[in-house]
Amino acid sequence: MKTEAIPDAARAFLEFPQVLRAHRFAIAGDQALAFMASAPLLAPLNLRRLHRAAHATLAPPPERHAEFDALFYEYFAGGGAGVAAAKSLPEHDAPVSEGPGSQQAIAEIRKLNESGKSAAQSEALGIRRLRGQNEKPLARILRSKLPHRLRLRHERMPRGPRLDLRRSLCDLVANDGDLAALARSGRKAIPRRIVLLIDISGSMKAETNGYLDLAYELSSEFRDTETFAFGTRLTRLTQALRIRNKEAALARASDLVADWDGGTRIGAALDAFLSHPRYSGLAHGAIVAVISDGLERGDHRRMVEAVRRLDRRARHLLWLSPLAGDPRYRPETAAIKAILPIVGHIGDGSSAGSVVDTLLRGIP
Amino acid sequence: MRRSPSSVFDTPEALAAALAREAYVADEGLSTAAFLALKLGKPLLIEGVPGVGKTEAAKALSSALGRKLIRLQCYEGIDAAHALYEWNYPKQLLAIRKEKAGSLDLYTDDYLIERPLLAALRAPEKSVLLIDEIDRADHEFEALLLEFLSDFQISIPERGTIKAKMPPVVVLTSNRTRDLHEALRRRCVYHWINYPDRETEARIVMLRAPHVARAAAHAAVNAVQALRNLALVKRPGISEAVEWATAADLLQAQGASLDDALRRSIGVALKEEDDLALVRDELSGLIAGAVR
Repeated sequence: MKTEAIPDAARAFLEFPQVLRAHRFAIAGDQALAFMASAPLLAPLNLRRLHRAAHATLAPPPERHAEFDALFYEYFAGGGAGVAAAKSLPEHDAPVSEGPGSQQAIAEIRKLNESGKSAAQSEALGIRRLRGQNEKPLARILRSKLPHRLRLRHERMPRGPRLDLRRSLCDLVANDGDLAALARSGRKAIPRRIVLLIDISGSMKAETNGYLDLAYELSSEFRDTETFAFGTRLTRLTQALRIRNKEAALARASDLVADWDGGTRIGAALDAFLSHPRYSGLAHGAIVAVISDGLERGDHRRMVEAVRRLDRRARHLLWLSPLAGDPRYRPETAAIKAILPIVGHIGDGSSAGSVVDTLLRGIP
Repeated sequence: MRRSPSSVFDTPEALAAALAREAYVADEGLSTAAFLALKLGKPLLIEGVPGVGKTEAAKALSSALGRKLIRLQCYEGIDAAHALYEWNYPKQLLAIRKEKAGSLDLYTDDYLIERPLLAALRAPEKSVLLIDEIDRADHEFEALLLEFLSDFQISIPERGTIKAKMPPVVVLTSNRTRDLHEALRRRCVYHWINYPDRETEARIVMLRAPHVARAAAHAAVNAVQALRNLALVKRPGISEAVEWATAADLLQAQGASLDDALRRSIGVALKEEDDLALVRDELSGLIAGAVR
């Protein structure tokens, strides 16, 4: 960024938002501009007033006020000693990947899919019945059981609950005053989006394939399902799992993930999900299921804070652990104990089938 | 109107003083945020737990500005017809029956029912729009609000686009039961309200209930502040402190001691059976400490 031509007094207003961004505060351009615009309005400007203006325009979340204030005073009153250090920090410490050039690869696989033979094959593979006694594929069962939400718009609906006077009147005028039938309308109920966050670290090794299978099934039944895998980094698998051919989809998904069976940094990965502007919006009003044993290395405070933020966004937040399949299981690690009050209880995630059961039972 | 327009508020302090005249005590943070919102022409988003006076702030702001308050209460399932506008269908039908021939325009202002957002848009200089408890609405409604708040315009298919002459003053409140969309947050000037400290709350109680004895007001505030430290289902808000002080004052006038009056009127401060059970044993001690 060019800052040479900017007067010294104004430079601080450009730089401070950058410092904040380096510390994982989400600051939009609009907000930085508002911060700058507020300065001449508050003359005579002093540190106290500037501090109030920074809070009002840059809007730090209340639970991070202390952190924000420390940065503010360090920058504006402390001579900016910590700023140089801040600037050198990476943008995200848990990198996000969607795989470079993945679009082309997906297009190629799509082409492959369209040929009749492999399509038929995928059909046979795709319909997997995880619940033996039931004839319907699993995702179909889920469709009726999962929570729905109503669309905001009223749509024309022949048997809708509401008499649509607006459309009836239009029809009436269009037909010179004759009305064959009153129009009805209603708000369509659509299933809430499912967001899966799957732990693929070493401790989860035995189950990850089953989870990806499930993610594929869910993605093909509910087109807006979002799947992410995390270990030491966060990877979005949504695009890969939308490929129609199941084998190709799963192969593509496993190619994308660079950190199979490695370590875990759950807090950092969830943080990366939440602070990515495009991803975090996906959790709003959604059913978010985190499938992880919660074995966090090191300090778990970051993980707990991330879970709390996730819970405030999601409509339903479920935490499923493969360990919870054992009836003798008790939440004992500090991390799991700390998130228990937020998520309510740790659901059974010992296999794809039990994940489905928990999905069905765990949502009121 | 009786009060001068917003341009008179040249400093946050002037705005705070004007709010104080409306019996609203605004701290520095809130008065700065509200001042900047007015000057920058942006909506003001106030977040905080229930009972800290978010809605009151909007009411005080509207009367300090001498404007009408238009309130949109959000709820789960709120839709465009409740927030934007609706056509008056019975009236349109009657008009069709009456008007046998000729050209009849069914989509004039005569047949338009203004809902809060449209009403604020059409009289931006005379109103303050309060969008209350936005966290109760669905996230899809936020998208609709976002559209409204960025351009201050509404499209009505039968009529075209209606645009505000100037950006209206908009206050949004949220109890933060869930996070709002980032896009909405960043469009606003933001303020987080906490429970007030002891002195501020005592000032608020005496402003809102001027007839209450000083001792009763202070005791009620002390007790409420102590209650907020407990793990309650519903912590008492500012209005509970005001009501408790008033109730205790009433009982005191009939001869009860202040201790006794506060204890007997605990029902106006705590309204959950679980909370009452929790404090039952400690209540006497807590009130004795508060009265002292």
